[in-house]
Amino acid sequence: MNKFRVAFAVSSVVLLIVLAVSPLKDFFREWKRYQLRYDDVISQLPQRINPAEIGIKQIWAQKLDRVDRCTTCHLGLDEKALENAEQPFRTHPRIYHKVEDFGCTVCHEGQGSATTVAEAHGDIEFWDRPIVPPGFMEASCGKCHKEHEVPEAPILTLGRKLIRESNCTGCHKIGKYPRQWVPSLDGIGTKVNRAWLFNWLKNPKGYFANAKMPNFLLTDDEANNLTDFLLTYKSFSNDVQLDSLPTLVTSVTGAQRDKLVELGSTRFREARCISCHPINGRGGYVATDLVKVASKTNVQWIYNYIKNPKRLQPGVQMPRFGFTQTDLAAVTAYIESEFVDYDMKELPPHTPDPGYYEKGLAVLKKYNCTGCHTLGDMKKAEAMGPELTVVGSKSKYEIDFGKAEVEHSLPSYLYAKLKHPRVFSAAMKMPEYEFSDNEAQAITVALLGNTNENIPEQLKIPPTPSGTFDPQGAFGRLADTLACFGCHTMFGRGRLVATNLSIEASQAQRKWIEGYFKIPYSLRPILTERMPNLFLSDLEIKTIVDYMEAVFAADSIEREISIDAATVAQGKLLYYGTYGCQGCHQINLKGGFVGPALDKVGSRLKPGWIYHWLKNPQSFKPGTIEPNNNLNETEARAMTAFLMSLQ
Amino acid sequence: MKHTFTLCCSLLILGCSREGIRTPHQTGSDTTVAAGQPSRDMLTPMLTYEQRQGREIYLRYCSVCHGERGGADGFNTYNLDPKPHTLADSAYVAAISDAALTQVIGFGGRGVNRSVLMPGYQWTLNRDRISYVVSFVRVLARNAEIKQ
Repeated sequence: MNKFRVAFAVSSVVLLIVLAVSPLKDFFREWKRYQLRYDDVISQLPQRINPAEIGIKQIWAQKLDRVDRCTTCHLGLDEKALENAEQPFRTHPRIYHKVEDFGCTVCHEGQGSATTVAEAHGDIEFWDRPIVPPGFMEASCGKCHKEHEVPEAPILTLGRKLIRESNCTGCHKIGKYPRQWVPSLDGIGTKVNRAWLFNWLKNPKGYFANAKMPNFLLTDDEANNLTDFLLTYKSFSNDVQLDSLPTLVTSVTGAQRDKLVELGSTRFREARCISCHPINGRGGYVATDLVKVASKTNVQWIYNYIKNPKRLQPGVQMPRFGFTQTDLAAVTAYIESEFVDYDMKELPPHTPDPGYYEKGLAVLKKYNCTGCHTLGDMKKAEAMGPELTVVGSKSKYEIDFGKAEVEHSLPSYLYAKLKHPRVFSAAMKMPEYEFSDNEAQAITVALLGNTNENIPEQLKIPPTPSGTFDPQGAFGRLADTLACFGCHTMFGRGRLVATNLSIEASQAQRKWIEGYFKIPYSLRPILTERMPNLFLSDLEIKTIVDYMEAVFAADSIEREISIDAATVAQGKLLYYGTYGCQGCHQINLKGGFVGPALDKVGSRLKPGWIYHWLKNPQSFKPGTIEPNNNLNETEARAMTAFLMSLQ
Repeated sequence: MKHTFTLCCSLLILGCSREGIRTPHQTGSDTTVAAGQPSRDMLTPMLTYEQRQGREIYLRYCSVCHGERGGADGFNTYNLDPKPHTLADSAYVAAISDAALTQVIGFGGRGVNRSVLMPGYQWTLNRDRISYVVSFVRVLARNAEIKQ
């Protein structure tokens, strides 16, 4: 009997304990401690903040089909007073997206529905999308903002720019990233000398620091065979033959030669070659450095190239200057005598390997040189690296970390791969780009944003399609030979190294445009990329300007502004007294030089354009630093009148 | 009996509480750095989102006069009279409230009875963007202080 009682007592106690497990477990939930702690934290602040209601909180981001419970512990997201509070209570920075609509995990990743710290942040096995580490946050912007430039995400924007410039698409398919134009290798055997080519293949950055081609870490044998192989390509595409050098370059010596070189130097400066070609790193960024070019390239090739760039390199964005025969010879002679590499490494005597052709071809195939370059009738190789279109969704188990000492996560993998491409296995073929830490970080960010996540169409911001403006006829041919699209944008096509010309004829006066082609003086002294003197004939200028007046116009901004003494005086007062325009613009050598000098602006610009520009500069040039001063009608008219009076 | 019960209860309680309060997730800050692994020091100086946004806007619109590091040494500074005030002076900047800084950026020098050479940006930058600049100006002052 007694035994039975004891058993009954024990089982009752056990039952009681079992029953208590569930409420106790609930009572000691991890998040509850954070909510209590939150009350402690806010009680120490001078302001009164509503204490946390005990309970799970969640955000249902309906459009994205996500449920995030992060706000259960992250309680102070909207409380301005908690800016410096301990985590998880700190204020969220002000962003453009409402947390109620987007939730948390679409940007931050992690496991939204979890309610413990470790599980929510994804620090657990089999959860592939842990919290985005600091410094890589902007990757998530890239999920919806497919536009190349996202002004609010500078790291992402830089990364995308680097992906395009480094021409990663030569080997990897990455969504809709286009392939860059890369010089053709046809005729390379007639263009460069052996020593240069060998040294270049071994280490492009050794030739000049901003070389775009990465270092493929070739062995001496590989580089020798590839060099010998490439040098067999002596003829140019389309059966182009090089014109022979004029006797002026070959036979003239002594004082006459000096005179020729001096003329060449003048033309070289007048044509503003350094707007695009840097010399020893100084100058533009659009084209290659010329500092050692005479030791690299055959003089005959240089002469032919300047004479007609697109004949030797179809697709290159270099204008064909209107040089006379003498000018051409002079510039060639100048380049030949000026840009010599005095430290070029001499190669030891070399006998080609008997099987150099096959071996060289094998090296070329192995490193996919034709991914970027064209060569003979060899087809541009299909992307041979892994496709990176959705690399941001790669799971950890898909990645081979090898024996590298790298944190096993996707961001770390990509970052390490970009910094040291062969760190995971010596058999990898990716070349070394020598990215800086910030650049590698930016590219990683851009790649991480390429996910296969299901984002509703209405939230996606697709890239603006580039324009298809393709002028024909006389102007079209000129635009092609002068490579206008290499710097200018017209109706969405081209680059923005220089001005957008889409409404140029409504902005500037005809006479001024004509004069500018003759002497393209610098409107903004701080710019490095200046308009070259193309040495155009009067007929060519007329053709261009006629076309511009017919096409590059916006009738809606044409406007007559009356210029009488009183209005001009009022405008002057506004210019100097109220809006302090002289802070950035110069008139008569007084004032700043952030914007263009405004001397004689009345004979340069059209009044309608000035009026509309003053009212809203950003509508013409997004991101221009000139502030919108919210001028009223009278003010805008008065200032236009004042500027137009500066003849 | 009583002891057994207490023991059981305390065991249960211990079992339920897995970990104490901790600051979650400090990735990158205290992990050891191996070859090629991003660490905090190697990344863009760790600014908050607002400060980073502010930096971009500041470099675009303000640095030509106020200087990249706020030292009033932008390339355009030398054309200005009066000269812009240095923002790398922590005492000076600390004495200006956020509201006053917002006012200066929004309305320009004219709006606060200072030089008209500083334009107002209230019609160019929205309120959020101006507040980003304010938070970055505080970073400039702080950096200058650290250097001293």
